[in-house]
Amino acid sequence: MHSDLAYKTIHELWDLMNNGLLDPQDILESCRENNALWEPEIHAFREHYFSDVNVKASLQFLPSGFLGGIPFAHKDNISAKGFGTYCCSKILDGYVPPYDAHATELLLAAGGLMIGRSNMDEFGMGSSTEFSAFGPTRNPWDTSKVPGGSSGGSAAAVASGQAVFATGTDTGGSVRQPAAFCNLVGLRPTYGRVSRYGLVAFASSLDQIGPICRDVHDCALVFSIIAGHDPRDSTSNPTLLPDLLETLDDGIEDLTVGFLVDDLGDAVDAEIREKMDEWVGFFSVKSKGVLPIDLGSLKYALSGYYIIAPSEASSNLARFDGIRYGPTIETDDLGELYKTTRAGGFGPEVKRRIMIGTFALSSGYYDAYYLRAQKIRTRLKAKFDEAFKEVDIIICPTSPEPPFPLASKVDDPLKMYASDYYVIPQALAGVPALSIPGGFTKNGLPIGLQITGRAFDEATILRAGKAFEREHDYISKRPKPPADKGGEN
Amino acid sequence: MADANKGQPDIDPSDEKLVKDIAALARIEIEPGEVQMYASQMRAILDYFEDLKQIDLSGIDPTVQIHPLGLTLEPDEIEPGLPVNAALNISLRRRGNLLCVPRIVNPEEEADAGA
Amino acid sequence: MPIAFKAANGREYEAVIGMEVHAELLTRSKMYCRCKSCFGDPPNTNVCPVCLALPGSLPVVNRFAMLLGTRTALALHCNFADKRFAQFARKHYFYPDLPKNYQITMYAYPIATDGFIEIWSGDAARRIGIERVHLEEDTAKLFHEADGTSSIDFNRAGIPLIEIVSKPEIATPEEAKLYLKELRDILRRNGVSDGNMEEGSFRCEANISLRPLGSEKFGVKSEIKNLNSFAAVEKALNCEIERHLVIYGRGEEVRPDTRGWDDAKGDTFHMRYKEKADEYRYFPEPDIPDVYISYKMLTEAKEGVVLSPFEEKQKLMTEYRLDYHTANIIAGREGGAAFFGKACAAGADPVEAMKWMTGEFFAFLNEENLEIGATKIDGANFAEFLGLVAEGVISGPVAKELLREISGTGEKAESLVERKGLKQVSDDDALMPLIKEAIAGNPKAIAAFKAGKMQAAQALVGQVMKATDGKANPKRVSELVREFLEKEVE
Repeated sequence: MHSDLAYKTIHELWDLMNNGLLDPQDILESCRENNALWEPEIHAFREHYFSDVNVKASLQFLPSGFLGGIPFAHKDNISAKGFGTYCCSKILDGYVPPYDAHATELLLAAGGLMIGRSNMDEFGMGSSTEFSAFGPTRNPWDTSKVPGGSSGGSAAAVASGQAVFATGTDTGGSVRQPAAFCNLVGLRPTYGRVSRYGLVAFASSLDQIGPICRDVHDCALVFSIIAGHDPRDSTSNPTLLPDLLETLDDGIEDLTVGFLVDDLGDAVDAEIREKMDEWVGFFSVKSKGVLPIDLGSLKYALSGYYIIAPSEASSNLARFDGIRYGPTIETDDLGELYKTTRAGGFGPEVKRRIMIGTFALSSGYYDAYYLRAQKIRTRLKAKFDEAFKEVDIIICPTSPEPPFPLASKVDDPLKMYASDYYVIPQALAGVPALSIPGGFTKNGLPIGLQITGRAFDEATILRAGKAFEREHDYISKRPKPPADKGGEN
Repeated sequence: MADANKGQPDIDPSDEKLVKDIAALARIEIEPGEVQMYASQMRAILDYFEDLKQIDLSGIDPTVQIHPLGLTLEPDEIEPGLPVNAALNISLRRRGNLLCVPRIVNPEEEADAGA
Repeated sequence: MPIAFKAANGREYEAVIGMEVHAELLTRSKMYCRCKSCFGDPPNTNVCPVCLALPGSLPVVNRFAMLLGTRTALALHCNFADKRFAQFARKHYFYPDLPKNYQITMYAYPIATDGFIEIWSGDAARRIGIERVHLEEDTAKLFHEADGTSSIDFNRAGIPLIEIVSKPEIATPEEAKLYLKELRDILRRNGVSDGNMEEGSFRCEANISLRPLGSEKFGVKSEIKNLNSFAAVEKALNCEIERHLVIYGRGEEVRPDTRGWDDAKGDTFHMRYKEKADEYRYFPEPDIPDVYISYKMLTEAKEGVVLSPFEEKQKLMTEYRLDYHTANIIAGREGGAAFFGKACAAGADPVEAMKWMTGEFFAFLNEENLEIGATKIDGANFAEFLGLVAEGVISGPVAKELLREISGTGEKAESLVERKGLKQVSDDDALMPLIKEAIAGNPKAIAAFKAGKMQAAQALVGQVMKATDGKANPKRVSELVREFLEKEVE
């Protein structure tokens, strides 16, 4: 089937194109077929460009690079000059940036074809993509379930073959959890690896852009393209990136593997606990050895995150006032301009977080909340540092539960927050983490395995992921297209 | 922040007045009907944070940067910015080469700017 | 000893004044982006994603601004924190002239603290403490239109500002004015800011409270904004002292408020009450790493620090024994003290140098509206010039002209005198014929002289001076004329 092409990896497609066996037009066509097939059902994009003649024409003029013409879904909060960048919020409805984000520049310079703006939880706030102001995204593996969030649209686009890879952003798990829910590979880089210039800020000390891909090799490839120091971002880290592909197939015999001991008990789905045991088994055989790692009660990390992130968000979102960009209202009263624009433009989850954040930063509460949360962070980082004296990587599930049904958590913020248990600590500690396909539930829902590494050591988590991937064929599985679902069981 | 801690407040954070004050600070209009909902949600979230008060964090410094980083200082050279149209056409409040906003009606809106 | 102000109820009070100054830095580009930093360009032509606060934009600190901040801290004798640590912070409030609706400033950790400025107040030198010095960004410019709306020009948004807060140690409105002048001159001389209040590159706010004479407890504060000139500062503070005294005289309490100054009415007016502190939600700026001012930057900053006007005056008074008044005049002129110092170092007599500088030279500069630096004369040449005058090589009138000429051309004094043959004629043999000629042509003079009118001699001296293009030695001519006339009279 022509639509099969879109399910190949970047490196496979690159080989085919390099050998003259394939034209970028063919890949685009394949993605378009999947778009027609899937998109009405799953709504992975807020807007896509499959019908845009300019897009097809632009394939003639693409710079030659690894991504020569390969379509990717670009998350709606990463600025792309001349293309709507709404962060799936009403308050940025119609906003077309006059500049490119650093990551956008790099991907386009490598020849990537931006095929659409992925749907997302508004401003990155959410774990299910149900908080998009433009409607939810559905999981291609089971359209009654969420694809995860906030980069759910990106993950769904790749899982449904509408794009070969996608960009996501991870503040508290938003690249890894959707990757896990959609049977894909997602990487949260070390904080500072990828420039945030042009990324609409949610929580400045936590945000990072990360790739969502079909396999570990692709992930290493895309990450190598977007990582690197950028003087326009003062938090961008100059630590040099090694050649990740060179060590990708080195295996894990030399590694000591930690497995996370948690205090979630029954809150973790039984099937996921079983899978975890299998994973520990695999690593104990293939690596130098496994050790239990106890980082203390990560519930504190959760609390810390849900103070720090909203605090920084309340500050970063203060600029949205309808004056310099975005929809605005007619009024004679400046106060009304602010209050009504913002009340009408922000969704309920965003408002909630702005309120919490404003509260946590105000005098009288700052010490008890924001300051304490930042101390929790210091303590957590110290615990990771301690752990990494004993082990080289730490494994755990990406999510305590499989993809959950739509509308099952939107009214209960605390329930939503708890599903971030395994993905928040790495964001707080600034360390990199990779989520790879780790298996399926009895009902065919994807389960993600998360590999966490030392700061700046993406090379090790990538080769560990590759070693696991080689021995388990999860990545070749595909979700059943909507038409098939009707007929078969 | 030495003077930020003005003493532990006794007010229950779910207090509706607090919600209204915060909404005002954040310039977000909350409908009267919504106040209770926000108040109870916030109460639930802040109760969840109560566990934070239990752990001993004495002697620990708050994180400011997660990885030590030197400060980027750029040479004082002018670089081209945005052309006027690119800068102003993204706004719906453009008037000539300026942006137009309603004048302050309530003098309390006029902020105590540092400049 | 504090100055006392008396209220109607007979009680005496002292004033406690603090000043807060914001000055725009002389950088080419803005504080957190590389847009042009400039006054007067067409609106919204110096903007970019950063200073417009477009989504996704990030600040990058201007190195030269940091250097100027460091230099200012040194010039104001401030102390740096351990490791010269400083930290940017966000200050939140909503206003159309603040694109991010927060300002990136410094809060808990400024560039430096605990410095001082010295001024002469009356007869005594006074030290006014500096609380802190820090960097921040300016807001956009708001224009209030006739139709009830406001227009925004973002050119100014992001221009680097230095904020200097004094300790509440100023005792009178006059001292406040002197403090501001001294601070302004320090900033100008160190190349930090052009300190122009009219153009808005130097802004100040005053705080004033009164307390019973001798009391240690602070009284209730009034804050005054919209001060457009040093004179306005002094007037406004005087008004406030009176206003507070009247209230206290009635046995009432002053209510803390923010006030503006109405120049036309010559009075302050109430703007708003400050019952509770503003809720700015300060927290460390996550987009900018911690600042540790490097040793390299400290050294670079130190190299550029020049003496303050006060320090220059002190130096003139102690090293050259000038009196305060004279030192004030010389040091009050930009480059004056340095010029004087160089002249003396090149051998000039301090008294002569002082006379000629405060007299002819500054008069000439005032006429031509020049600063010393704009002329071509340097201290060494001035010393040479003074030498020629002292030796009588040139006459007084010639000297005045010569001084102007060498200021304009930079030619060495001696060579100019040679070249133009300006040497003073003191030789009697050369002078006598001229004198006889003058007298011959002026019979009335002799008659007047005989009649007892001594001034007649002056007219003859004048004629001889004219005949020699001023080159004749006026003293000798005068002596010779007298001798001659007296002989005639006999």
